[in-house]
Amino acid sequence: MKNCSQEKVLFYLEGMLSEKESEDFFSHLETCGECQKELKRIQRLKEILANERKEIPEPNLSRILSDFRRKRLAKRIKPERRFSWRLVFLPVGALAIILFLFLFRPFPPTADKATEVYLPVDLSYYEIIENIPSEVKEELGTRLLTKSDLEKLEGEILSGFDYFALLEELDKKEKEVLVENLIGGGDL
Amino acid sequence: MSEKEKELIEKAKEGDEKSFEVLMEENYQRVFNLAFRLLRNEDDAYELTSDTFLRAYQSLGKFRGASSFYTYLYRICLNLGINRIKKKKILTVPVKDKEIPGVNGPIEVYQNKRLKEAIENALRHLSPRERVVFLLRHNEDRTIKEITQLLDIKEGTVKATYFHAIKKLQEFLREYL
Repeated sequence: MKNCSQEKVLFYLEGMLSEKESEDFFSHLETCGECQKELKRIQRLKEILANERKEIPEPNLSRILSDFRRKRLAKRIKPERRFSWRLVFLPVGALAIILFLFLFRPFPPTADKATEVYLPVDLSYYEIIENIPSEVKEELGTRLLTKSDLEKLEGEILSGFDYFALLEELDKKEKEVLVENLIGGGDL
Repeated sequence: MSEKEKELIEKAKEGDEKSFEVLMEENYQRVFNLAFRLLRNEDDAYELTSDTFLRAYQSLGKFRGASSFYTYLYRICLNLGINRIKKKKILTVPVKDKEIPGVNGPIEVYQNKRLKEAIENALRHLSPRERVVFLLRHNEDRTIKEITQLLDIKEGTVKATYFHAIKKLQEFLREYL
């Protein structure tokens, strides 16, 4: 009688025992009247309940749909979006890229800014610029002063040679030639 | 999950109600059957069915498609159904009489009616968990493993719950066994 267990009878009937347990219980069942009775009672119960399980009415789709629509509208229900880190990272990433590009944008910047940055603070220089002939100014106006132009001018002016003294001695035409040479990189 | 189903779900997630209603049309019968088996009453089953679809629609953003759409609905229906049983202590209205085939005489009809009432009474005395485990095993032919996954409880708990449900039903239906 050591194998008698109502649980085992049920699990045996339902195929919930392992193969070994099932074999052992089957051997026990052959000789145990109590377990045989229990087995029959559970079988009978399942038969009774099996008749009952067939009684499900046919559902009406229209009723379900109209009920669903009514409740959805009344509660203003919409699908909730799942929280996604992408929604946070995408704009932040885009901003970081824009900021990076702005801070480390390639030089030279616009010519106007270059002029501001690179013009030596020396009135003589402006004098040179003023004396640039209109053709040269036009040339400068179209290409403006590149960084290298300005560096060249600056380099020449600050190289130690006293261009300013020279400028004093030069007439208008000579000054134009000087500027032309400075910009064009020619020899004086 | 079929490509069509995936497409409908994606559209529904964007708020396309028509796509969701197509999904409803494809699943309403099975959801209603489950709801009816849980609650044993037609009006309650209709309400649980529409509530299941409503919750499914609202939470659609969380559905990743790891399981089928029906499994998603199934879990929602089970959870809402259990809550409903707990809250309202329903199952007080007996199911409509429907004759068991082959039972025609007045005595058999009477006995049949009494048996139905006894079954309703027995089922009413199961706890919500016992009722659901019994339903999944007996009506849906789910394996113990499937039940553990659906209800997120341990195998030993499922087996013990099922055993207790059977014992209670045996007790209440003793005179018919």
